Amino acid sequence: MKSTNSIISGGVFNDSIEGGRAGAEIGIGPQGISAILADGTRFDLSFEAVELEIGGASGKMVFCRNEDKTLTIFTEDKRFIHSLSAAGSMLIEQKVAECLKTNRKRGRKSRRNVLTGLVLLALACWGIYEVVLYGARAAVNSLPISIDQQIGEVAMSSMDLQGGVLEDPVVTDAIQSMVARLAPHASVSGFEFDVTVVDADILNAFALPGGKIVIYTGLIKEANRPEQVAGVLAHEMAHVTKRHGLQRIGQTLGISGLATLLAGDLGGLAVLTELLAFSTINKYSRTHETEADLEGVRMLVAAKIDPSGLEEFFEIMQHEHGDVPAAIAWISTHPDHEDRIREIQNSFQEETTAGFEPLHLDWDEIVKRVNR
Amino acid sequence: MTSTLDFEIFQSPDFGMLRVQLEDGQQIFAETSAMATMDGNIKLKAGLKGGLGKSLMRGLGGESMIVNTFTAQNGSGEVTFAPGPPGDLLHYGLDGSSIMLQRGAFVAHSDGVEVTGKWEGAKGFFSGEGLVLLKASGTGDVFFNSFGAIIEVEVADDYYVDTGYVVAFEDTLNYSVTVLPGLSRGGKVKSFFFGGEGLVCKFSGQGKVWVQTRNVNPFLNWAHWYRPTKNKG
Repeated sequence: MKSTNSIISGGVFNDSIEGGRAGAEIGIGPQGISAILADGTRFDLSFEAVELEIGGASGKMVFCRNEDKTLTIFTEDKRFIHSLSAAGSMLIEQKVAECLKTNRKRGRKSRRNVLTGLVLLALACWGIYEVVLYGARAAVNSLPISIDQQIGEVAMSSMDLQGGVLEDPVVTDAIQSMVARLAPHASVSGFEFDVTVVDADILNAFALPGGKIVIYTGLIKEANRPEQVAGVLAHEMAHVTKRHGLQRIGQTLGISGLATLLAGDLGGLAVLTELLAFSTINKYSRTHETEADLEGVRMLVAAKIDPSGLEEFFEIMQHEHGDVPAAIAWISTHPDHEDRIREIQNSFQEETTAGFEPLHLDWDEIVKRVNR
Repeated sequence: MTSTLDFEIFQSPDFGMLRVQLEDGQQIFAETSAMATMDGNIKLKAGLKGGLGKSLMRGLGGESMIVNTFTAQNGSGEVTFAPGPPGDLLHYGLDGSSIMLQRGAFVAHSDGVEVTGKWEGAKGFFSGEGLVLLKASGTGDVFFNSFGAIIEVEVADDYYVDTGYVVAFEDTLNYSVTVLPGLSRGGKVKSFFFGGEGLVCKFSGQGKVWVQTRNVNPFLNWAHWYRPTKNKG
């Protein structure tokens, strides 16, 4: 055989080699493929006898075998298959072409399988997500209200309110009177609504499970008329009656618990699980906010309080915090204010606008006392 | 297969350790914190090996980006290494060939060997072994560790190994990640979600696979129940 025209490194499988395998230099001659081990042992495969296959861990290794598969010469060198094709033998050129064709077909099939796998996984995740959302809601609604109250009390006592409790009876009585007017129209009876006014310059109010509501003087100051504060209170009371706090706890536990249960080993799936839990909680609370807006409006109308106060208050908030880019809104727990205003307007138009009774409060005096 | 290093693996298989006798000027490269003991004339140097790209891929493969270099100076010297998990150590002599290593399996290698990460994409993701596998190639010695003991399997035809038990395999093997074979389509889904026997590596072709006798994740699940919990006041 003539000397080889290109030397390529690879290896040989053969039972005559100690350990059955050794590294070798691969050559292509006019009649066949040769492999020479480091100790000089030479193996030959003729083009006629050779069977080609592409595979290995990388999927790029070329295996050349004889008919009974007792000798295998392999290499991962990219030049090999092209050199083989160009070796000058019609027979081997044909074998290379066939081998490449099979390899391409296999590649397409495996890509299709991966895609199918990903789609199935996504579907399974979505299914779990829906089941948990529904399950948390159903489970919470079957629990007695006393659980909400106990959780609310624990939360309240362990919470840093970021300010002192305002004792001025003129202010607290006014706020309490709004709650008293709304309370009989709650969709679920049995909740005791208890408002705490905290003296801090924070534009916020929140509700805890069971009926404890905290409102900051910073929010009262921003309101132009009492109906706006009543709107916020109705919204917070709706969170309580719709039991959103407990639902959130339930679904946080549910998502992480179920994901752990299903995934088993959390090695590679840990990140995915966390992402899923995060996005679920986030979307859920957006749903909650919208639900609280709508339920709040319903309560306001039932209590004959002008519900446009809630809408006005969102406009104030948007004016005050208008520099928040809209892109952030989708991920934040509170839905975009504009979305909320629109939603309130829509639901409000369906309600009757006649017969609202104003809140008889000296608002200027209240704001003056809060500012003191 | 020939070896360039004078080495001994002792205390196998339970808590195997590697002892290397370095000649004057000879080097060995080991993962960080693997060194247990060494003679006074061994010099340690820490650094990125094989450039930033290769180091980064190694990092993605569950190894430290830093590799420690131990060099014997003014005569021969001895170094011993211990891997992180309780288990065995194995030697493999590379002669221009490559082996693929599971996440974190690399312990040490001699001169002439390169260890880097290899992107495995979806295959790696579904195997639970991460997106990057380690690949050791070149000519020389490589040492890798297992969780539990190591069994060497010469693959002929198809061979299935649960993804959690694969330690290493020769790169001449075809490998794919698949659901347990022989089940109906519904059975596959059922076993994946509820049977715990989810995904397996399917090896075919010619080459060796090293299988460990314990799997880390079931062990963690078992140990989890004995963890002390903190009471949040």
